[in-house]
Amino acid sequence: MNIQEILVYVVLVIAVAFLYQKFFGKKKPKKDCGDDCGCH
Amino acid sequence: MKLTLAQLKKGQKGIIADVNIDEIPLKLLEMGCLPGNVVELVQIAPFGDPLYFIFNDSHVAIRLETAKEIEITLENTTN
Amino acid sequence: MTHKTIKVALIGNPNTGKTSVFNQLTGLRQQVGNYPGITVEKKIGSCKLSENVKATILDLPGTYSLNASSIDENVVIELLMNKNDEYFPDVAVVVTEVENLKRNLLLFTQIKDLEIPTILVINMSDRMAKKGIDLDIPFLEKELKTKIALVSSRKNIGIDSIKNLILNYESLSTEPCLNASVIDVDYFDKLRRAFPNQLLYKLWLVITQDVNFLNLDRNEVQSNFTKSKTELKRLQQKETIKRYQFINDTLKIGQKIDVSKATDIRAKLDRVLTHKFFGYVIFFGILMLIFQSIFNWSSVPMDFIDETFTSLASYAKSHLPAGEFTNLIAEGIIPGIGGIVIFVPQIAFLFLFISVLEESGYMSRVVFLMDKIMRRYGLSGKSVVPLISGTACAIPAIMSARNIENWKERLITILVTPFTTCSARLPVYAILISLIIPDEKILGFFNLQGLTLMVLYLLGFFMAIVSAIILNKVLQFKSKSYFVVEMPSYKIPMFKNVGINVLEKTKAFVFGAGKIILAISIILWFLGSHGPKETFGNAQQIVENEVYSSKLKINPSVIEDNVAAYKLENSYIGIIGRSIEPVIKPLGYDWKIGIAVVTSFAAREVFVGTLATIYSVGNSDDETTIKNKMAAEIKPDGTKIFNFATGVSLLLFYAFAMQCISTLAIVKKETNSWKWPIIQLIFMSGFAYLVALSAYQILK
Repeated sequence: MNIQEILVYVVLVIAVAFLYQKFFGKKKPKKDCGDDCGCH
Repeated sequence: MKLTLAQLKKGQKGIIADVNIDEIPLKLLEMGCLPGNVVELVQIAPFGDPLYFIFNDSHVAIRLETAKEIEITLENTTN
Repeated sequence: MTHKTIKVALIGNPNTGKTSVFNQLTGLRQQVGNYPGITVEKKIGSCKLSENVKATILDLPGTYSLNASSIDENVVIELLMNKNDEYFPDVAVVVTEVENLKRNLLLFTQIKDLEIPTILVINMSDRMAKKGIDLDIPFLEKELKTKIALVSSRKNIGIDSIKNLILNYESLSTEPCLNASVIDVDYFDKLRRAFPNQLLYKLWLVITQDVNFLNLDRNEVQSNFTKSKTELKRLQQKETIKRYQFINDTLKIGQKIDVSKATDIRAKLDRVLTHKFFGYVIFFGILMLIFQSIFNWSSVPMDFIDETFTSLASYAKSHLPAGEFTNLIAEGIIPGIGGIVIFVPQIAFLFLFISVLEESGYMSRVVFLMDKIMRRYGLSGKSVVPLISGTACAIPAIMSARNIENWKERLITILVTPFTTCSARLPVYAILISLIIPDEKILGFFNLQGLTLMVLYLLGFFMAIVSAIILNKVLQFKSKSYFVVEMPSYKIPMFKNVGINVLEKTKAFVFGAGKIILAISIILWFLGSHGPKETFGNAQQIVENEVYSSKLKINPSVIEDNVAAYKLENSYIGIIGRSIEPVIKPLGYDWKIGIAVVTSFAAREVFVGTLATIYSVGNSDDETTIKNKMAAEIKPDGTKIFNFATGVSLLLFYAFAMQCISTLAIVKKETNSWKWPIIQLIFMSGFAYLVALSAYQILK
């Protein structure tokens, strides 16, 4: 595999992971603050 | 028969005498729909409902059924 | 030098110009998010007060009092009751408005009872002269035990005095301005003895409200001091009267109004805008204008964006080193981003109009005008706001249904709002309309394409109403129909407020939905350019064999195109697409459209991007725009894929189907059950399928 193909697979994994956490990954609400509170 | 807000005519003023506290929302009280305050009917919506009043400097529209729960006396000043 | 941050909470009644004060204080240094767990918008901004002190300003939802009647209002109380909250303010800034001072001060006196340092901002001071109002500020400051900033956020006057007061908040008095416990002396005495360390007014709020209060067992307070609902409400009424007595006494001296000087434009405008005939004419005129202009004004930037991204893709392909990753950039990522950016003009225009309607105060008149009519369909006059803002996006629209007091009316509003034509449908409509409807004018005035768009919008509203009527018959529960709507004074919308609003909403779209669209584009590209070895891998050979066996003379470029088509058909996406083809074929779609329809269930706007990606994969000609590519697609028999029947069928499918995961999620949140979103999904999509099916079968 050349570098271009490796990059394609990396981007693909990122895309799938992003969609997965967007639609299925929200099952674990953080206890003390939301993800927009600027505390982390 | 008791007079209620629903019987006011457009442009007519009255004084709130009593409110049926079980039937009207607290929010309306807080806006100043309280006994003793002057109330004026500004506008009636097409088809006769809702009604647009001014009381306590608040410009507020409420439905006919709510207006029926608010008793008034007419201002007896000569206007 | 040490840097200090002061935490400020901005509180006030709706329509007091609180948001413009916030915008003046913070400018563009704001962040919009959500409160954890609930979908109430949380706006935080920062503001430099002096060389080494800055303020973090939290813009709380507008509320009439501390007696909450919605989750938005609850946020205010929960924050002010909880000293351990991260954003518990060092100082509260209560924004009031000069014309409604009396009513606005009610909330102020309640906040003062919480013994938080409080600044009083009296906004819209530029209207004082016109209204003949004169204020005795020193007297008011003394009586209300606070410092006052007289401000005109519109004219940017007095903002510095707010900053100064915030800077010196430690010198503010925390003494309440009246003693509300006199409404029931015995009761409050008992309460005081039972909880000697607690603030009496806080206890009272805990008893009357549904709020959580740290360090205190709510059940304990309630069980010992419970009263019937009516008794409590009576006490609350007494409390309100008591507060108004104090306010009236104060204003009698502190505020002079020369009635003869007061001119009331509001009454005159109201007479016209809520007129039983002209009111409706004006309302529908405004709607017409909005829809015509969205279509006409945004077509120029949209075409420009389309062309720009097309040439960008071909530039990338020819200038980057050849390979897989370059293909991904040119065929997946660039068209994917283009598919997002192309909506920006339309979304910006829509939010612009909606924000102008809201800011000007006109929206309340529409609510007043439409209530009786809407009630016939089981909706409320207030449903007009969600239904109109649904033309931008169903998500904020469904959230704005919160201020509908009656639960049944609110539920029906939530359920039917997704039928209104949201901005995500617009690009789909726009591209399909431009393919199947000629660009002509009728009656020399109406653009036929714009008119078709208008019909689709009306169809959306019509379906919303029809389903509301059905739901109104089916749903059998009674709830009290409270309806209170304030008629604010008319204002010329402030450029800054509208601008910030449009910017925020557009940004939220580009970075929210945009990321999803981009990710889907990447995956689609991959699935479209990869496939099983035996067919996809040997495409060149198979096609060449076919050509040689047919013994026809075919020029090489045709062979190349045939290879590309064969590859696409045998790629993973082609395999998936052809497997669903039997379901969508009766609707007039081929498998490529089918893939686009399926991916649209993540979000409708994915449609155009998907087709763009599918048509780009392996396409030797990169200089054609999406629209031209779609127009050039042909069936095996040589006729156009996007003919009139298929186009209409697609338009109707997109008009009715529930294709937005985010909307389903928000409906679940707002109704607190999966039942309603699932019903929405099944009924809307099933209905869409049937309508699209009949349309195609009749028209083909």
